[in-house]
Amino acid sequence: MTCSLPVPAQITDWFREQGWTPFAYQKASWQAFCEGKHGMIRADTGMGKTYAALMGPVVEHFREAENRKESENARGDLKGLKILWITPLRALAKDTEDAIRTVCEGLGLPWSIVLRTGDTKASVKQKLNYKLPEVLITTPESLSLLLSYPNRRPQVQNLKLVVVDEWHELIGTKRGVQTELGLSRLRQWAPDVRTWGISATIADLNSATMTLMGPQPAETSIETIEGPESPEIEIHSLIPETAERFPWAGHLGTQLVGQVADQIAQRNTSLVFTNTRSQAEQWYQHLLGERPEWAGQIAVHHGSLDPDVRRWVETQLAEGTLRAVVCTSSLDLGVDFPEVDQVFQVGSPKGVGRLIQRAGRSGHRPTASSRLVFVPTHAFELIELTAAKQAIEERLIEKRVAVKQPLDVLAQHVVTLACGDGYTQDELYAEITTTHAYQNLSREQWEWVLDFAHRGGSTLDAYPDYKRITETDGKWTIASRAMARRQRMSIGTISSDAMLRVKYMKGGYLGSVEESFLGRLKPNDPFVIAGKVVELVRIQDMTAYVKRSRRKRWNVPRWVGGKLPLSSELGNGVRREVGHISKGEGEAIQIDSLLPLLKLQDDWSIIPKQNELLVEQFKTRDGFFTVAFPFEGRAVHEGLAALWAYRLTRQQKATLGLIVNDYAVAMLSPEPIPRDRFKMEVLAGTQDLPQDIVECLNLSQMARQQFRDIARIAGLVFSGFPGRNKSSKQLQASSNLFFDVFQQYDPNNLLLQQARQEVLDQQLNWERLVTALQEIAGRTWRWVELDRPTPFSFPLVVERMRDRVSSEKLSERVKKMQAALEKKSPPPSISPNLRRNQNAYPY
Amino acid sequence: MPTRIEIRGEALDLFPERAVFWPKRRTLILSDIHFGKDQYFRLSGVPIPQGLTESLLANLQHLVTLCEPARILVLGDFWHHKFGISEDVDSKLLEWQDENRDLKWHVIPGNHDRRLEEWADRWNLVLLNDFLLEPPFLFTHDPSAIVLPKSTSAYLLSGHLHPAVRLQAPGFPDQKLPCFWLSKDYGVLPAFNTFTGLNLQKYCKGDQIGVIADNEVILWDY
Repeated sequence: MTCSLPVPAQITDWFREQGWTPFAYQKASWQAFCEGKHGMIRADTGMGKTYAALMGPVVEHFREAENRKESENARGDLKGLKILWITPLRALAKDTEDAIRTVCEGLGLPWSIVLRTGDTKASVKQKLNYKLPEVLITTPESLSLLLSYPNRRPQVQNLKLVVVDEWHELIGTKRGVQTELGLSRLRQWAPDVRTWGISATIADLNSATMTLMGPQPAETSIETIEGPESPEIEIHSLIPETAERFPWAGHLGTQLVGQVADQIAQRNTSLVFTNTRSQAEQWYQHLLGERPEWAGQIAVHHGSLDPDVRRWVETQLAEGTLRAVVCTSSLDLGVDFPEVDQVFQVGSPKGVGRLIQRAGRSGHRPTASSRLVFVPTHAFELIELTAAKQAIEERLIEKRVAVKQPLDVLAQHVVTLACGDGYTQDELYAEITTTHAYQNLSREQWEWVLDFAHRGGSTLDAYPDYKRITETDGKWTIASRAMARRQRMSIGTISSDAMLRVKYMKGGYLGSVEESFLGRLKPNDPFVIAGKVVELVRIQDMTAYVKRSRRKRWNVPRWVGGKLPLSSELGNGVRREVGHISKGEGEAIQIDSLLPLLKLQDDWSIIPKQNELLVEQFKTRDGFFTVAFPFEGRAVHEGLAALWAYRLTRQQKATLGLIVNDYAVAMLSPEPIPRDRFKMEVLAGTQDLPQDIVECLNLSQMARQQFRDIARIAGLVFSGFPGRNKSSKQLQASSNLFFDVFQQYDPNNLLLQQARQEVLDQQLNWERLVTALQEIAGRTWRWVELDRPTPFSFPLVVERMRDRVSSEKLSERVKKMQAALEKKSPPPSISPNLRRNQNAYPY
Repeated sequence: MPTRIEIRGEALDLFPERAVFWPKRRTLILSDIHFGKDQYFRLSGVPIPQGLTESLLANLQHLVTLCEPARILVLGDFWHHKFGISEDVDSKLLEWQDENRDLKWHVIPGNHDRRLEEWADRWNLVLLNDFLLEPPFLFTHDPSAIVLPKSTSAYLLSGHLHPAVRLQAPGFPDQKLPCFWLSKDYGVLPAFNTFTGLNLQKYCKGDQIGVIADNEVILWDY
């Protein structure tokens, strides 16, 4: 594998024909590849990163062809898969395919290129089961699927390059772990394969690289390549003339729509980012209301829309024919749109990395800078933005924490591989421990996973007659062909709630919406989707039929997805900023419209300094609010709330309402929580923490919810094809049932432990939670009793109650709650047809 | 602890173990036992730990000890599927019956009970027709499969639906609880098997709901 620069003439020529000059970082990548190195390329969209990663094997190919000619020992090109390109986004796959095709055709490479995602035609998929092309572009799920077919090894053994595109999107997720596992198998089969990752700017690129490579390759064999610097970010903010003195989180904040429209009009193409899909639909409607003449020039784009609609929007954007697109994270990454010269962020950016990423969607013209216009929806967000600006300057980007050996993903993997040619226990253990995620997997855990797939548990508590994989002569394979079919249908780590397709009566697909939203609508109820106002006609066979509506008032579907928590980095930034304000310093205090709010807060209560913990207590119609302001972000606050509530209720029976937002934790109680008691429990810090966490009722409830995904990934819940696969109906049971059954009959099941661990690590941000508890215990305590909520507390009073912690018995609650019994369950709007579908299986 | 109600002048005890006792006839009424459901899942490659059959039978034993019935009347879905009846399930059931030899089993077949007749003798089950009239009650499995004539004075008791209510209160996670559904002319029992789905029903004003919470049946007027 010798290959020295200069780059083969064919390639330089071709680049010249395109009017391009290879960037230095691209050439560096090719060189490193040819030296047999793995690598990580840090480059943002639109900087030629595809070519940086792709051309290595092409360069090598031409060098080798040269050598062959010289030695007159012309051996044919090696057969089979050469380049595997893994992308987390289907939307990106097409673009990558086009780029690769251009190269191959331009250089006359006789390589076949196939794109395989969930959307690929069945006939193409079918073919791939037997024969792989030279270049395959696929997703992590499709990679696993590929490994689930027999006779793969000979087709993969000449693999030269695996590229994991947008690795920053995968790291810290179970999809990322799934990718790591897939790679570990490929490395076993293809000794010459080199792993290359492409990532946008992230906090800890080094550990991201290690996560992708696993513990094995020596550090000297890994090259980290810096792409060109991303353009400067210019951040502007729209300032409302008057900020309401009581900022109401969650309300729309569309009063700035006029200003946004003005700014859109001044530029070529704008992206308007919102944080939720509903907000995107609403902003689209409001923009259109503001400028009706823009119909056809603006569009909406989010993950629940018909792929064709999305593709159309993307094409129009790329061609620059659209004035503006209102979108969600669906356009955070992916295809580059050089025409975009302005980006709006509506509402809180939530995280520094995300804000940079979104800003980076604009200004891809040479010498252009990224222009981001921030649109606050309530006054606090002005403070947040100031904090975010500061963090961007200091490059305080959020870290991505890798997922720690999730056993559900491993359980899926061992069954997937068993569907192929099978494996021996030791061989696969050795292979799996070459991944970063499972490098410390103990023999016991490994055996448990294998046992779980084999017979449900260790010999002692094996589940009678259960088996998914079997062992013959030391080799593990799938137990039956039916089992293999089912496994292939359930590969993946992304869960989705039951979605109903939304279609026009006359035909024409609009998108999909969660069943829980549509279930609440009655026929003729209007709602918006894909920027169109429609009304429901009927629901049938997992499809909601709608027609156009002329009504002026409509619902907006609330797509599940939850609220993004403010990152701890940004939370701390906000606390610092508030601290500055308390001393009359900083940038936020310069914002005139914020002043009345701050003044009121200061008059009625205090503005806490950075080392102070403000607690306000006041009475409302609903009861007594006790609001603490740790400024740690929603995720940590949820943990704090659950823990404090547990500590406060453990001695006397009580029910506490819990409300959290990104700044504060509020508890609602019928009687005021005594100051000293609150202080004692809150300032207890991490004392008795492990014990308290175990006993905390809310956490077990959260674990039950977390188990939904685990059950699906580990293959307990089989969703099959809705409405099609009738034979599977007798096999359906909800993950809740599984949770209860395991809890009761197999409490040592490691998947249950995993659920609890995930709640701590992911939902509650455990490490942050512990640090926060310690740190809060050290803060100066400021207790303020008031007769009304302050501007800081007000958002919590209007926020929907999030959770309640009760030490009362269920039966006591049931007796009290007769009034709360949902009067019309299930909602009458669901047509009889759907009801039959829903209810058919458990009988 | 059971909750006593009266229907058409007959006393009935609703047990939180998801069964009804009819003292006058010394009859323990159950519905949707789904014997061997866990086994059926395991055979199909879904990992379910052992213990569900044992707990079904233990529950039954508990009820029998409490009520001392002369017979058990099953309102359908005695088993989940015949494939779920492994040797293990079979022998545990036989063993249980051996210890309760004086008990008669009357079974109205449910939609899951295909080919149960082949096993009826083995387990000493008396298989009934789709309906059993024992005034004032008319028993069946699926209440929607029958239209009651207006003139009838019988009260229909059935299973099949696995009725449940949803508790929704701001702040508490939604929770479904199994229940007895007692309407004016008909009543539906919760599924005896706990490893089954729970289904919300279209309850009407005037219905009485016996919500099972902790170890109690709490009566709600809808």
